[in-house]
Amino acid sequence: MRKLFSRQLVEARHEMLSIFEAVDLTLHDAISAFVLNDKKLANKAKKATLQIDARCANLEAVCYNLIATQSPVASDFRLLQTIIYVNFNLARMSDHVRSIARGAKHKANADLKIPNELVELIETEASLVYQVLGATATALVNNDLSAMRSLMDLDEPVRQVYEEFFRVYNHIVSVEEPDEHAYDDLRRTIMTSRYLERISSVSVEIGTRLTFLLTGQRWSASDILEADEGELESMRIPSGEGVILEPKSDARYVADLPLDEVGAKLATLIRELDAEDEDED
Amino acid sequence: MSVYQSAPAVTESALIAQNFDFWYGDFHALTDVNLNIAKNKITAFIGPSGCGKSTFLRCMNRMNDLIEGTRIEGTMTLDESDIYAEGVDPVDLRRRVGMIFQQPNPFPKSIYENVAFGPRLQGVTSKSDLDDIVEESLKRANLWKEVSNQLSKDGLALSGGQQQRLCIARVLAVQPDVLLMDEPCSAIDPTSVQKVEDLMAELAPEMTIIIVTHNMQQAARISDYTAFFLQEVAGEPATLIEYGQTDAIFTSPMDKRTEDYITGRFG
Amino acid sequence: MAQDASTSTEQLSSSQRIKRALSHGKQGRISKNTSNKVMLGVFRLAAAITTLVLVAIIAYVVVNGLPHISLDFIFGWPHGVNAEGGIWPTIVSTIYVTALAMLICTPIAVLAAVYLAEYAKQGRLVNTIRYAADTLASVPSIVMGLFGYALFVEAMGLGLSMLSAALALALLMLPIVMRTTEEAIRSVPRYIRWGAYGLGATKWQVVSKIVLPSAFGRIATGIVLGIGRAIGETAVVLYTMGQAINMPVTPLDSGRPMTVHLYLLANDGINMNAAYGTALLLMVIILAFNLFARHLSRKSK
Repeated sequence: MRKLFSRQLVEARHEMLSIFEAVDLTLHDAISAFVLNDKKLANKAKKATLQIDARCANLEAVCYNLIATQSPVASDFRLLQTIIYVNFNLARMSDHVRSIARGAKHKANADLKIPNELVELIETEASLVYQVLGATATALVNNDLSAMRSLMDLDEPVRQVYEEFFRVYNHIVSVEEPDEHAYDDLRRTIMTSRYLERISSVSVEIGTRLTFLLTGQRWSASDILEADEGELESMRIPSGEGVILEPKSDARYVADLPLDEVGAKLATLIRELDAEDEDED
Repeated sequence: MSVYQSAPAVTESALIAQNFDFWYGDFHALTDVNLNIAKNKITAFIGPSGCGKSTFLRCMNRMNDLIEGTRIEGTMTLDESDIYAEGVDPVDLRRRVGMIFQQPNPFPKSIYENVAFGPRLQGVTSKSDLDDIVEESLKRANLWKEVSNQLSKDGLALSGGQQQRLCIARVLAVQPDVLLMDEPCSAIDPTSVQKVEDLMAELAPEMTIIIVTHNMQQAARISDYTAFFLQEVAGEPATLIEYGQTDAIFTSPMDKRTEDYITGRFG
Repeated sequence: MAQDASTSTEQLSSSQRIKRALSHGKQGRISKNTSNKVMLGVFRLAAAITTLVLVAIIAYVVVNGLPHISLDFIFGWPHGVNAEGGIWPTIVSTIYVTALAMLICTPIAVLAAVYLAEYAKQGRLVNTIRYAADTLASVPSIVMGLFGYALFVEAMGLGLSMLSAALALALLMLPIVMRTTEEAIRSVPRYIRWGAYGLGATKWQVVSKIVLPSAFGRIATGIVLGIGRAIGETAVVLYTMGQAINMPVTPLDSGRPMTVHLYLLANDGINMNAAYGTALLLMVIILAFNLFARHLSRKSK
C-alpha cells in the first residue's frame, strides 16, 4: 500500500546517503590536495562541493514537497524530518569542505612552505575525521544505535588533535616569529584544522538524529551519553518500510567509501555487494 | 528528556471507561477498553471500519440501549458517577452527552423549532427564553449570521454543511457537558468541514468533545488526544490499541499496528 | 532473466487472447439492433393498451353520463320508483358513511402501526400481525359485507345503518391505512430519531413530536387512499346500510349510498342515463380524492 510514496521515501533516503558519500569522498580529495599541493585536485574538490550543494537544495525541495502532498505521519514523517535535518547539515559540511579545498588551492598556487609538523597533524586529524564519517554512515545504513553512540567517542580524538595542532602552531609562531606574510599562510592551516573539527562535530550531530528516527525522542548528545545501550535499544518504536530497509539496499549508496573507514559492519555489507556484482558480471 | 516529550497525563477526566466490554446480542464487539477522556479537550477515535470506535462512542451516551440485545460489562463513569448504574435515566444522560451524526439530521421543522426542540423537551415554554436560547445556540454554532433572517425556514432547506451546524446548535441548546461526534464531516463539503473544525476548536475550552473520524488528517489537525481502535481478527472483539497525545501518536506511535494504520500501510 | 521474459510474454498473450475473444464474439442470427427495436415496439404496445382501456372507460362514462348531470340531478330528491329525479340523499349517505368509517378506522390503524413499527419487539408476533393485515386487505368485499351483516347488523343489533356500514368499511380500510402508516413511520430516517434521542427525548416524545409529524404526509396519503376504496365499495354497504332512500341524520339511520343506487339502477335497467350520471359523479369524487392524496404525498416530500 502507498507504493509510490514508499518508493519516494526510499529514494530520498538513498539520495541522502549518496550525498553523504559524495561529501566524504570530496573531503578526501580536498585533504589530499592540501597535503600534496595538487591544484587540479583542489579545483575538482571545489567543483564537487558546488554539485553537492545543488543536490542538497534539490533533496530539500523533494522532502518538503512530499510533506505537502503526502501528509506523512509516524515513521514516514520522522524519516522525512531526519532527511531534512541530515541534508541541511550535509550542506554545512560541504561548505567546510569547499573552504578546505580553497585553502589547498591557495597553498598550491602560492607554493607555501608549511612546517611538516603541521601538515602531518592535519593528515592525522583528517584520518580521524574519516573514521567519524565512516561510523556515521554505518549508523545510518544499519539503523545502528550503538554505532551512533560510539560517534561521541570517535569525535573526542579529533578534538584532541585540533587542540594539539593549536599548541604546536602557537609554539611555532612564538619561536620562529614569522613575518607578516608567512603568518597569514600559517593561519590558513589553522582554519583547515578548524574546518575538519567542525565537519566531525556536524557528522556527530547527523548521527545523533538517529535517536529521533528510531525512538521518536528528541534527545541531545548528552542525553544519549547518559543512557546505556540497553536503554537506548529498548526505546526503539515500530517503523515503516522507509526506515526498516534491508541495509544492503542502503549500503549500495555509500559503497565507494574506503572500507577501512566505515567500520566492520558496513564494510562486510559492501564486500558482499561487490561480490554479488561480480557474480552478475 | 527534552520538554517536547514530557507527556502531560490527562489532568482532569470527563469520561472514564474501565475494563469495558460490549456485546450486540451474541456478537462480542469490544473488549477490555480502558480510557480516560480529558475534560474540555478534543479526543479523536480512529481505526478502520468495524473497529468498534462508533460503537464505543454510542456507549458513552447509552445510545446503544436503543438497539435490542446489547449488553455491557465493566464501568463507564461521567464526572465520577457510573452512567450504567441502576437508576440512571438514559434520557437525562443523553441531554448531558449530546451527539452529532454522520448524516446531518435536522428535523423536518423550521430552523427555530429545530433549535428550540431540546429546550422545549426540558419544559422551557416562555417565548422570550426560547428566543434567547435559539439565538445564543445559533451564534455559538457560527450559524446565526447566515440564518438570522430566515428562522422560520425549513431546516432541510439549508445546505449540508449548514444543516450539520444547525444540528450542532440544536445540541448546544440543551447545554451538554460532552459532545460526541460520529464522523460529523464525512457527508459535507470541504469548506463546511473547515467551518465545523473551527467550531470544534472554539467549543473545546468549555466542552469535552469526542470525535470519530475516518480522516486521519482531521484527527491530527483538531484533536488533543487520539485513540486507535482495531479489530485484529475477524469475529474477535475489537479493542483499544493505543491512546495518547495526538502529536505523539502521529509522530512516534508506540505500537506497530498504529504505525501501519496511520501511515496507510494497513493490511 | 529468462524466466521473467517468459512470464511477461505469457501475460501479454493472455491479455491478447481476451481482446481477441471480445472482438470476435459470435453474432446472433438477428442483429442486436433489430431485436432491440422489436422489443421496444412490444413494450410500447403494452403501455398503449393499458392507457387505452382507462381512456375508453372514462370516455364511455363521460359521454353517457355528462348530458344527464345538472344541479337538479345532484341536489334533487329522487322520485318515481327512485329512478327519476336527483340523487342527493345517496351522495350524502356515501360521504356520511365514509367519514364515519374514517373516524373509526384511522386512530386504530395509526396506533396499531406505531406499535408495530416502534414499540413491538420485531419477531414472529409482529410478522404474524403484518401477515394478518395483508390477508385482511385481500378478503373479498362481499365476504366482509356478509361478516358485517352477521356481526354489526344482526348480532350487535345495530340494524341496517350508517354505523354498521361504517364499521364494516372501517374493517376494509384498516389494513390499508395500517400498512401505509407503518411504512411511513419506518421510512422516517433513523438518523432523525437518533437526533431527537440525542437531545434527551423519551420514546413517546420522539414518536409524537418527530416521527408522526415527519410521516404525516404519507400517513394522510394512506388514509385518503383508504377513503377512495371505501367510497367505491358496493358489496359491503349493500349488506349493511340497506337500500332505502333516506337522508341520514343519526348513525343508526339507514340509507342508500351512490354505489348501491348505481347498482340498482343498472340492474333494473330503468334509467340508464341516471346510472351513468351517478357513475360519473362517483368517479369524479374518487378522482378528487386520489388527486388530493397525490398532493399530500408531494407536499410531504
